[in-house]
Amino acid sequence: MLSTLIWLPMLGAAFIGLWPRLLNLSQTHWVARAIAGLTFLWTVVLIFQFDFQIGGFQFQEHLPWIEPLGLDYQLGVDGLSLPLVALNSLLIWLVLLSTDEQVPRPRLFYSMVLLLSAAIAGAFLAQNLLLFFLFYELELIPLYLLIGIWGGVNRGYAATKFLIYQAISGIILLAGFLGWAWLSGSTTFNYEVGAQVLPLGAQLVLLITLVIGFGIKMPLVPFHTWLPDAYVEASAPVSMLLGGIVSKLGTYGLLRFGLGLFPDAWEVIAPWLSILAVATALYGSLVAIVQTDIKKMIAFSSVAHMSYVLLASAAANPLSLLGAVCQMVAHGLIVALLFHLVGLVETKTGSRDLTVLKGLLNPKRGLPLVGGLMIVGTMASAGIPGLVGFIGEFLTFQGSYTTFPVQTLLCLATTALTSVYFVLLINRALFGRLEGELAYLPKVCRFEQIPAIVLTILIVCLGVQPSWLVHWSQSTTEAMVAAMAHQPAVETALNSQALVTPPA
Amino acid sequence: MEGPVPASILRNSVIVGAGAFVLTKLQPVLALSPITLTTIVVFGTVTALGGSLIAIAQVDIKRSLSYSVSAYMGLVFIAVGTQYVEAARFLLLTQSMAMALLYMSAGAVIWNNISQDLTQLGGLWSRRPVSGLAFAVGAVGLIAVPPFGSFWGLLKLADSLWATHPWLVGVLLLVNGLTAFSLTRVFGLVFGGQPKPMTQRSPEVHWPMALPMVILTVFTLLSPLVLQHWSLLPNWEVLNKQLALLLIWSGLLGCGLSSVVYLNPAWSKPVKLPWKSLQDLLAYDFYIQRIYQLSVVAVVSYSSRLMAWVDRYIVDGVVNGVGLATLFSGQALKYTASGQSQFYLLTILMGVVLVGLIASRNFLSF
Repeated sequence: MLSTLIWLPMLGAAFIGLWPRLLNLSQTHWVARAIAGLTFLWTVVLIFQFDFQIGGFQFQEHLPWIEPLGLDYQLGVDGLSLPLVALNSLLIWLVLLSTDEQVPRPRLFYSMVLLLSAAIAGAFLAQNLLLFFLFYELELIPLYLLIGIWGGVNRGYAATKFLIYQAISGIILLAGFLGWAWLSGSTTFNYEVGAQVLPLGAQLVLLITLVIGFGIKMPLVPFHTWLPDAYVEASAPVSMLLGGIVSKLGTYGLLRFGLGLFPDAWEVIAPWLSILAVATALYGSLVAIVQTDIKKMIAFSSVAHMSYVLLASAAANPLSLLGAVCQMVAHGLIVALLFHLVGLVETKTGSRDLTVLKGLLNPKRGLPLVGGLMIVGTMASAGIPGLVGFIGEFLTFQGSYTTFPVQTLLCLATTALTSVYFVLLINRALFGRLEGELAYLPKVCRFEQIPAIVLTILIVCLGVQPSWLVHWSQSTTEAMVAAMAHQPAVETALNSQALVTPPA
Repeated sequence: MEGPVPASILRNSVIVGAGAFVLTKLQPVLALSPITLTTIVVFGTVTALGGSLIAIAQVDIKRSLSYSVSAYMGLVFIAVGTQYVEAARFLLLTQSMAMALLYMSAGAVIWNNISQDLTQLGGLWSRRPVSGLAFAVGAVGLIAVPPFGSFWGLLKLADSLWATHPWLVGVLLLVNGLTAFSLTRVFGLVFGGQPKPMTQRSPEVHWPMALPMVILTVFTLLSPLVLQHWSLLPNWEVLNKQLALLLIWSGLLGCGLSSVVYLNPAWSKPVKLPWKSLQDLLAYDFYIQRIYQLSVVAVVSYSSRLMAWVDRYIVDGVVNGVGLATLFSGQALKYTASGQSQFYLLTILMGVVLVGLIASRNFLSF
């Protein structure tokens, strides 16, 4: 079942990349789309087969691989990874749909995107620490090439910086995983909740290692400087994947391995993690305000919004963990939508500069649909009720307030800053009078519109009916907290009538 | 007040009303803390008095009306803060009805005259009787003129406050008088006086705008019947007649004074106060915008610029510095690879001596 999600895109990548003479260009395009579409359909089938009442792993697959090393091919999916796997399949499919047929070196591009899809799915599904690490590193190869070949002017610098940072992150993680296996005397790297409990000192050291490793991926301040460069220099489809799904590997890893393997140490450093989350949120929001490049603004806003996931994870009660999962999905959808729209603006106007762009909302000559959806995307990001961003932030903040009230209030203040920079963006780029060289813009064609419309529909639907998203993960997050075993049972406030003020 | 007319009508009647309604719903929560209640009363008083004073100093017709809305919201705050929720909701109902009518009339004037600047309007009474009538009816519906809507709302609030907070009744009377003054001023400037260049040709609005205005005018005139139907009117026996008279007199005084100034062609306009700074203070709504610019906006702006600088030159700078240091040290060290075996031997010898010294430092210390 699960192997299909990894091997279908991987074989597709090999097929497209290694038999170049078999298909002509437009056939390549359609084959790549078809493979991504099939993968997505398969994910939908999985979702319908998934039993939402079970908190543990499902559809497990086990194949001994290199036993002396403790490396097994062991896969499984639960309520934490399923939404992210679905997000991955969806975004890959949308990215391939929106890719221009005129993209240079199309075969390499398609095979790299499909390889990336396989690697990310593998990382989310892996139940063996070494297998996770392999996929985590494998995903760097296509990303490095995608940034380095199809990127903007400074792509070489950005790609190298990205690679160095991520490789360091990988090495640190490997050290953490090896330390866990050796200190606990385990013969395999298979991941099981609460299998071995280490003494607190060892747990602390290993957990801090993992926090730094995954913190680079997320990213946390001060390990974030690869992100603005990589997001800005990458082409729009690659930015969508980087922001939408690759960054989720960091938070997913923290939740799965940090919280899962070292519950006692997690409780000790949770206050520090929450302070780190506040620092990252403030830093990202404040720096986003002064940016004049739209992509850079979204990149820094993404830094801020990912830190809410860290805040929720640090609080580690059933509600906040649910909030963490929802915030990951919400941020993935929103940031993908925003990057896609910015990409469209850039292809049509040739600029992402807020000092140049003006009046894009003009109904006749501007980009009214793109502009309108951009307003929806920024509103969702700022946490306006009725859109999915609100669900993520609301659950996060309500969950974490019981544990870290001050930190939660500070993070709430940063959601106000989100409105500040996005209102600046809308006011400068969308309103005003279209003039000069921008006066007549080319039309947006249908394939470019589809991803934006699909993402918007999801953002609105999940915002209006959050239980579709919430009940995927509820059993799992409750089981995760139960495994920590010292958490007082906090009543899930979804159904309670508590009087609460909504964020922002 | 740049929004289109329909948005203004809704904003000033229903939307601010919705906010205040939520406040009345939250009253049991607020009542848990006496400090909160006191704060609400203080803010309400400042808003009520400040709003009604500022309204008189505005030259924009919509701004002037919207500050009156703020003043009435201040009264609603006072009512919530003193725990008279019934009175607060009553006042909300009556003020939103009258305010919607005032905005419809103002919108109709702006629609055909292009300008919403009070100094450019005038002499419209003969040309725009329907709009003028609607404005007048809205005004009597908003201030305490029996038997129309807000009279009963204000009376109920004043009656409740009389027993517990008599000084707030003074605030209420003052707000009522000042609002009466402000509305009469707007009426005088728009409908009285001689026509100005902007108002020479000003036909009545077309029926899609006039019809709702007329319906609401009739509705406002019939408000006593509506209130009686919902049995919201007090009994004549228990009516506090002194308070009612005080309310009526405060309104009449405001209207009268304002009429002397603004319905009197002999009084030169625009009116100038002897204290220019006071007039400016009110005209620029207590400079609140500039205070925001200098406080919140400045803090956010400067801290974000500082953070961006730190990000660019310190966090990113350190990373790039490490990269550059690696490159340069590599560049520098490559000159040591000269191919001369003597040089390599010397380097090895020095290294061995150094290691030997370190290894034997225990013996050397004797």
